[in-house]
Amino acid sequence: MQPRIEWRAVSVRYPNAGAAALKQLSASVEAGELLALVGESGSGKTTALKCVNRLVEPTEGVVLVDGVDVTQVDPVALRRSIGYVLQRGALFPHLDVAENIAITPRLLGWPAGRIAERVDELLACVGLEPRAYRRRSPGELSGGQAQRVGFARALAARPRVVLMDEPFGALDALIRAELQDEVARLRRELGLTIVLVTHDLGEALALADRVAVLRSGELVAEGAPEQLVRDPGHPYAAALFDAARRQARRMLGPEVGGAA
Amino acid sequence: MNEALAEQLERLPRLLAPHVLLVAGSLATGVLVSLPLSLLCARFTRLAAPVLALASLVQTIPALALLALMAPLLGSIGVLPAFLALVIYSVMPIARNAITGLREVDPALIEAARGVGMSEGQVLLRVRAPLALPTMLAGLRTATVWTVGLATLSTPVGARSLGNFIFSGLQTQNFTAVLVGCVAAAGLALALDALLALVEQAWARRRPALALVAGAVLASGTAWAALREEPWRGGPAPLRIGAKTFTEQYILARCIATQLEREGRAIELVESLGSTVAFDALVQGDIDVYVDYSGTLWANYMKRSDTPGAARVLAEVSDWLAREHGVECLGPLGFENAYAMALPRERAIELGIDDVGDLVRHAPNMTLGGDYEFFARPEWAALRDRYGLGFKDRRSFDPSLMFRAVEMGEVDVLAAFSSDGRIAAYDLVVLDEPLEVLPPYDAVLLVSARVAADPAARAALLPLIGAIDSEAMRRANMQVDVEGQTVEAAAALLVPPTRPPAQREVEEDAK
Repeated sequence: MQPRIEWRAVSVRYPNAGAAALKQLSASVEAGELLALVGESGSGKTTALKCVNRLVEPTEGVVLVDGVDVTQVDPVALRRSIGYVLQRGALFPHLDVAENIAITPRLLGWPAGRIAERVDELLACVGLEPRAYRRRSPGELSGGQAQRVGFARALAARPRVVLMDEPFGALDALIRAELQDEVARLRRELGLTIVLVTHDLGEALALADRVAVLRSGELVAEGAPEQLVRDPGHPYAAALFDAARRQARRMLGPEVGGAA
Repeated sequence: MNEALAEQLERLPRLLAPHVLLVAGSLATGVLVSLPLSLLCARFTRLAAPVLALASLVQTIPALALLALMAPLLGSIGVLPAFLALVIYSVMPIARNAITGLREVDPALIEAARGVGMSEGQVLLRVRAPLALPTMLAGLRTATVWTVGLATLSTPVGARSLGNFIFSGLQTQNFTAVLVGCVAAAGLALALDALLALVEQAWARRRPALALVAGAVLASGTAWAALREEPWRGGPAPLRIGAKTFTEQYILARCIATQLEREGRAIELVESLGSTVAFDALVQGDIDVYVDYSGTLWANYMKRSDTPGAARVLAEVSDWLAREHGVECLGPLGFENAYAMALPRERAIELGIDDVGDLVRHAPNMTLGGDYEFFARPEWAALRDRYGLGFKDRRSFDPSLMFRAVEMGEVDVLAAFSSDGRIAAYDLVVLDEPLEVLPPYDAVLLVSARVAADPAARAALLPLIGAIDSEAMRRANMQVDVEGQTVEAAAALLVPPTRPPAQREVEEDAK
């Protein structure tokens, strides 16, 4: 079966930057899969993500979505067909909740009635009562509520692929856990293919079908969570898992950390 | 109510309306120029720096100079040069804020906008521009307050504005007029600023009704001004009477107005014109009639430095005007207003100074005061060089303040005007000028080609020729400058109307 997303030897070198931000990345995501790109800042994980919707253009290599080289697709049309979630929601402060969610359908020229229905449906879907939230301004929302709206906005035009760039960053632990459950539920219900960028390995292990660890633009480890935990395959990945394990042990006691 | 105040308030609508129109027109144009420019700068970021630098450079030109430069640059006077100067001035604050506002939108939001599938144009118009709007409005508010103030400076280039109160009031010692002009301009600035603040509020609180209210008030104010002014009005243009910025000119303009109105002609006063603006305006046909002085034309325009006597100068000036500029000199009014060296009588007696020659020896300890133009005029250069006058210092004043300066001892000698009533009022003596370096300054009535070809208008003006002698002019000037009478009253006494004056609007647009 053809992967939904595939990076083929993708390198990115930003103008005026020394080292390449991404070096020869080859990876793929199957339909319905959730791939987590993990690494510290500067590891190239966000660059890899943005190559998919052409916010960044590869210097070398190609990115394929459903087998089609994305550079052959109009970038605006491509982005309208792919959901995009940013940290803290990145809602437009001059538009209310409904208008934020309606952006992509409106850009696609959906009829107004259908957009209104879709907005209410999505609000309900992300757990916000439509009548109470539709006309709110983003400034009136809590961090968690804003990100729920962010999910709704990304899903509005029924994309099959959703890109998430640190979607749980800057949220309280409790809210973060709640939203992580939400993402797990949404992808199950909607059959989404998701690429999730995070610096939190625990989050990646909990949510992803497969995890890719990047460091300084290079892919250093890749595999299913349980497989990676058993055999990180690279000293950096091993150190990363070790740190996560130690943290879990500190929090929950030796039996949890030791069980892995 | 105080009668002087009532009189000034009666002029208010006639001067407020063009002021409002000028401000509204130049701001609207300023916005129309700045916004596309700012959007371009946001799209092509390399443009921003040079555009802002150019706008700031323009801003460093003093406003009065920019306005004054516009008249010769455009070769016309009136609303157009004022309008253009104000547009140029308004672009800077509007564009600067717009560019800054567009530039400083949170990069995450721009990324989000691209990510949800907006084209670059949509990012600019749907995200950047609305988010920058509060900053843009702040720029518009700054521009509005500036423009309202600067528009008062459009009076000297021949555009009516609240500045007419201020310029003519200062010259004729009518401080009620000055006050009314200042308060009206400040009030207008504050009112417009408050309305724009309301628009800001409306945007911030998402209350379109508020913006509609503010918009309606702005629109109806502008509509009132437009209906009053009717800039689109056709029909025969009124005869435009020019006046420079001093009392005598204001009085004479009204005498001219009286003569023409008696003939049933529609007239318009264009007052407080810069000295060279008036002559250029007449040549261009932007004004139809005004009074100038033979020596001024002789020395400044014909660049002559010889002094062949009053009759010769007058004849040659008339000839030159007709030949070079198609302007007719109808003739001398009958008095002279010469530049004359004057100093306090007591001081003159004490130092034994009778003529300019006697000044030479005392000059190194004395300060000479003159009006804005005097020290730049060829007459001063000639006087200085021929007599060898070397003053300790020289200072330029507004003519209305010059006499007070000599009274307070700020200056010792004045380059005064011989027909000025204040020479007598301040007890100054005018010094003889034995070498006759200065030309004669006979007041002459100049008319445009249009009036020259209009027998009825010409006939109406001819009775003024030879009708005003030096004593009469000096007395009329003194009535205004010293006794505090109105310009209208002094004009009525100087050239008595042959029939009782009808109730008429004496100011700018009398019927």
